[in-house]
Amino acid sequence: MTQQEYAVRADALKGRLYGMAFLYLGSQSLAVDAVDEAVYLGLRSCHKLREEAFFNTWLTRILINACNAELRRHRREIAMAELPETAQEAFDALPLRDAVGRLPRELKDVIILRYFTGLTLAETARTLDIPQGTVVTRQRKALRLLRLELTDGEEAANS
Amino acid sequence: MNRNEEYWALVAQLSNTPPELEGTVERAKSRARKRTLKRWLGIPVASLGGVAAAFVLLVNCCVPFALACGRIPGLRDLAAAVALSPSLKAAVENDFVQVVDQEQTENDITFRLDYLILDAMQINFFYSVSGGDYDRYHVYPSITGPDGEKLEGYSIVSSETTPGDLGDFNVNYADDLQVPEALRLTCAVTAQRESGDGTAVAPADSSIWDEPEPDREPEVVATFTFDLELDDRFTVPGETIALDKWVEVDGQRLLLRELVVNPTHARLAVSSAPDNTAWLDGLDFYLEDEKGNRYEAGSRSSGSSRLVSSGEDGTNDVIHYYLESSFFRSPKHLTLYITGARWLDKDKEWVTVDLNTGEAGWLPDGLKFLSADRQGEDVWCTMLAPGIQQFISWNYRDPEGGEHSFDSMGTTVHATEPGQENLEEGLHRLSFTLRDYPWDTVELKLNFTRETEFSPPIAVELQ
Repeated sequence: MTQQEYAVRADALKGRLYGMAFLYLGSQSLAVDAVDEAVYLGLRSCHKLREEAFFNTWLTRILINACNAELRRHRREIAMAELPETAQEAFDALPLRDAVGRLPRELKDVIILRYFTGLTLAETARTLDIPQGTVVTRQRKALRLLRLELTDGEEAANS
Repeated sequence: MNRNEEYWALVAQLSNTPPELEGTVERAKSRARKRTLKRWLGIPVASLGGVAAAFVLLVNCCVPFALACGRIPGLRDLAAAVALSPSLKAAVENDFVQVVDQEQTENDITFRLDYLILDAMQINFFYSVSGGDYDRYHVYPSITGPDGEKLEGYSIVSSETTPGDLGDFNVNYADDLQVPEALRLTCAVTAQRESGDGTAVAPADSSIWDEPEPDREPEVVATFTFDLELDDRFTVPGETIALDKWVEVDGQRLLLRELVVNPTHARLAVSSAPDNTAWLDGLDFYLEDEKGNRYEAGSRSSGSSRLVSSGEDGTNDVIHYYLESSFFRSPKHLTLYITGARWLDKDKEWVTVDLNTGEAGWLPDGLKFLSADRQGEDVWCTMLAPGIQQFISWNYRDPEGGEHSFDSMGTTVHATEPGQENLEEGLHRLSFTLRDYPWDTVELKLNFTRETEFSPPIAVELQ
């Protein structure tokens, strides 16, 4: 993919990337920083992307890594420790945004990608490098913890 | 509001992106451009090959290159690799190239040694590395005699390149020594994939709360050895022009001793008068011939530094500066134009700092001592410096005359946003630590105290 093609597609995707980064990092400025970093890193390596059909999952994965790096850097400022799957009452007491932020990591990844970034089941599986069945299992657990009743195809970013 | 209503409200909230997001792609492009420029300016010389590709068409349009095309195989790549070096470009135009054309493969990595451009005091090796599915290779060369015997009096630099691109590194010999008739070249190659670009999938058992892994030295993936005979057509001594001219620069006297013009580079030897009040730390200059051709100092063929060598005390002995060569033009007249100089005043070489009060003696304009913070046995110091020039030397003294050296020194460059670092302007924070330091004062050694630019330049007829 050329840098010009990349620029067009990254520009179109940046809004979704921002929403995802915001949920991971809980801060507008950190989210913008993470999207900036991901778009820059993508620009540097877009020449290696041979399957353009995988652009969204590829750049999304770069953003996840950028968010993780940002979380490491700001670990002391971002006190969003995960809650265990058994802490249903604690999840119930939190606003949805905070509840998503405190999901166990593997559940949070799936819920953010599926319901806030608009990736399909297959795209989510490819992005996280896990089987589709695992995505379904984690999605079900996360929705239960968040007490969300969304059907397949109802995910917002696809609507 | 139930959870589903909360979900739709959150989705709506997330769709309202902040205005800062608008410039994301442009900021990425700007960072990428700066990174390319930094890599290009920041040596290794081999990386210039990639940048120079844009010059291929230009150089191939000139008649000497077109003629040389028929004589030197693969000239297009070589032309690109030397396009930014007037001396090496002239060498190629004049058929001054030894074709090696040897290739070895180890562990799926292929090292190809294509050409040498050499004279009596310098050898430039042109090579490429490919295979192994890596993004970058770093080549650590060393040379011995043909039977492995140790050679002396030379310097050699490592080189970085990307797969398949023609890279280069060079060997420089000191002034009283010359390149050998034959040598054994050994190249240890390390390889890297683009780490840190975020595209790698994290291991399944990793967590965002894990400590990041410290940077690891890349392992040597292959080692190659070439036995080479150097073509003696290229190793005849260059022309030495005796100068012995005194010139006054900024109130100090400098002796221009000689200019040695080799085919691939030139060397200007300069020394200072013993009664000067300042040491010469740096000299900016160029040569110009009667036709207006300029030969710039800091030839690419010298690696990154203009200063080749100095005397034992680094002062009154001879300092050799590399510059581009006029060898193939054979000019009748050469004029030296000195455009700037950097000095270290002899009475201001050391500055004493009171670590309790933070008060420092005389410091150059813009340099300021900020703080000294005792942490256990160590003292952490910070200074404010204009630009990123290396004001402070690595050496310091305690009040009892003990000499020490820093094991590290850091510079924090301020930027209004990522990728917008201005390395030349603005104030930067310089930090260093005095290890295991119980004393209350320290003497820091300055590298230079002042700089002067000459407009118009100081002109000296050399030939």
